[in-house]
Amino acid sequence: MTEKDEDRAVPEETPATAAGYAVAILGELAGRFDKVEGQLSEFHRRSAHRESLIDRLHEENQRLRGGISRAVLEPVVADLIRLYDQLSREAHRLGTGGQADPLLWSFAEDVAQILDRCGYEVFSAEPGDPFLRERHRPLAVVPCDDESRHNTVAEVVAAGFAERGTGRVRRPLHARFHQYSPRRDTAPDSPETGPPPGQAHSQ
Amino acid sequence: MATYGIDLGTTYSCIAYVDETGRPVVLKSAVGEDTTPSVVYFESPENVVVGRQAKDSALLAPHLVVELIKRQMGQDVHYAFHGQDHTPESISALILRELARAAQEQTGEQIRDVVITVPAYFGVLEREATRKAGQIAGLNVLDVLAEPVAAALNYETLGHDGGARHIFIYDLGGGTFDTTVIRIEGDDVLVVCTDGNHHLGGADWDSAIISFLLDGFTEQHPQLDPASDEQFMQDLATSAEQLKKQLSATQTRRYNVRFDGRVVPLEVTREQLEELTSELLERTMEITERTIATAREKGVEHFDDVLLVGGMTITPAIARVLKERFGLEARLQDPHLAVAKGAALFALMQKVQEGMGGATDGPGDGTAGPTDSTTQEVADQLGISEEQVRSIARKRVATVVPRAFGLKVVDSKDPVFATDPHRARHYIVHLLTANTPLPADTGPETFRTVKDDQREVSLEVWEQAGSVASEELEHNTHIGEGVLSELPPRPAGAPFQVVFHMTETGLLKVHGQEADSGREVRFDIQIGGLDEAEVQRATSAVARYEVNG
Repeated sequence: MTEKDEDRAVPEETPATAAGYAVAILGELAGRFDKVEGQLSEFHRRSAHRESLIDRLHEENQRLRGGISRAVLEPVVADLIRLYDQLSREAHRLGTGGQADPLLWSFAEDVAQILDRCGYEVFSAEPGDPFLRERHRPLAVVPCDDESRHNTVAEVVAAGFAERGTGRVRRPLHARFHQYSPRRDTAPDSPETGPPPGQAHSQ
Repeated sequence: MATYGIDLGTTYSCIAYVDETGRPVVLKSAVGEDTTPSVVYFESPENVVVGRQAKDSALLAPHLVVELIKRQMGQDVHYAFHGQDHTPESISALILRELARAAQEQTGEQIRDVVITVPAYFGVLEREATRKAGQIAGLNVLDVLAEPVAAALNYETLGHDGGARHIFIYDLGGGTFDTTVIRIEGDDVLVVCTDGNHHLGGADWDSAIISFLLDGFTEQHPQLDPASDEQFMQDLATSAEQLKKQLSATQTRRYNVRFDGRVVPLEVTREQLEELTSELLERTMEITERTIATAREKGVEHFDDVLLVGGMTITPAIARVLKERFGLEARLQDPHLAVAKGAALFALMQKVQEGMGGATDGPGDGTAGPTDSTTQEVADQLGISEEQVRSIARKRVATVVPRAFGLKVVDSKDPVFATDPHRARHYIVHLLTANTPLPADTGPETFRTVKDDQREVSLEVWEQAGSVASEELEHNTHIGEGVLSELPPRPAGAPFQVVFHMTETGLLKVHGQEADSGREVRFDIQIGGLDEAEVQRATSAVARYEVNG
């Protein structure tokens, strides 16, 4: 008899030993079931986590597919906006009687249409419109002595562009703005002022 | 469990978190951009605007707009807007509030636990001011982390096992340039040395390109003055930035400079761009060389990784010259957002480590560790094993004394000293040198009284102010003092001893003692401008604002 055979040898069965053996076996089985149950619940927990991830990634993938064309077009849009700016600027420079040069202006309008097809709408403003920080970028200030015109558009220099649908501003409108500077002889109280940027006072 | 990393930059700021796939993700600003200009506009007594719109408003209301506030951090400066007093901490808090607000709009959950990054050269004062800015913003600042360490975390350079590793970080941002060497050994991450120029950055490269384009045009049309046209200069600035990016990927670009009906077609090559900006690049290389030399003095002979951080580092010339000049093989990955992302990873680590102080359900060996549920959750988030999470939780990012600290003393070699010691030259003796790991202890240093029967000694503590330690008073900042009094009457030159001890949180403990009489003085200097009451007041003031971007 080999040692292995000995290992397999079954002790002589008596009612007491058989019951004890059964209890031991059952105990071992219960332990193993507990382990399997634990592993199974861990597996389910991880699976549920993976599922939620897949759901989220799927949703994100769908969203990305929608936006990818826009991302790809981004540098082209930047160049088209520059082209539109320069064409409209030249059209106005070469125009007569306050009218833009029709040929150059037509090219500018074509560029605006291409931008529109890319999802961007052109927007403008009129002199006197109030400053909107969401849509306007001041390039310079024009002093004025009429307080009611303070921080209003003096002159539009370049149109703005916004995303169709979301309204998100892609490029703010560039303009010069009126800034009220009262004449000394009629000056009321000084407007409120704080320290200029970077020139704080020390305490 | 959500924690956030914030890169609170000089010109731009950014917030990131680790999403459920275990990847750090940047949360967009209110206008859909990855970064938010660090600009604050006090639009009305109730309303504050932060970001691009604030930047755009600067021309119309310059007295209500604050930029580059990071440069003032830790300094005792005050601003007043609509009658409300503000400090660099409270203004930075408004930037942090806007970042948190925009992030909350996307994640749908309240932003509370954050890690904020600071430059490695920031002194204890600036670090503490940054921490207080977070507190004023209503955030729970888990930690303040050095930017290069955050970048290294994002590059996963901290995940390697084995012996000590050294990482060189070349960080060229919009307005600043920094070089840092960090050492990773076992569970410890340590800043070995740091250097830089805080007025050199991508904006200087842009200026060089703008000048080139402008000169190209005016050479052909000297009678015209395009520089006086705001719109033309605005176009040129935008185009210069685009050209810089394009020439990082291609060799040549054509650019038509148009003004007042004239056009000058210019061919710009990468080689030309590199020549135009070679002096700027050279300045960064000089600092790189100095940093390598400092690291060598500290026993660092080799760098296992060289990381490029900051938007400007996409320029191929940087990696090439680092290779040619110093044999450094640089890696470029996500240079704009690496710091915020690394901070987000670090915030998660901090959160895990926080669990170490809580209940443990481990084997009961008495060793505190993250609970199984916390470990599981983080393991799932990061997609790594629970053992790796435990390993991360053990990591410790050590802080160093960023600048030297010392005492003001009288120069006994000054001829005036013999007749009037008070009028003699005063200078600073540094007891704690820069880059000493915290906590740091100087051990007793002996000083002497300057006159006969001197009954008390004023111990004035000063911190190095410039980038290099100097004993001159004007290169140091006075940060606190105490008096060693009731000394026994003794001849001039009687010895007494002073010990500096700085804790990991920047609390400087000063102990002075006269040995014979046993007289002593102990005082603490909690580095950081605002006291608790001021922080509370600022918190209330900042909370009253409606902040938007």
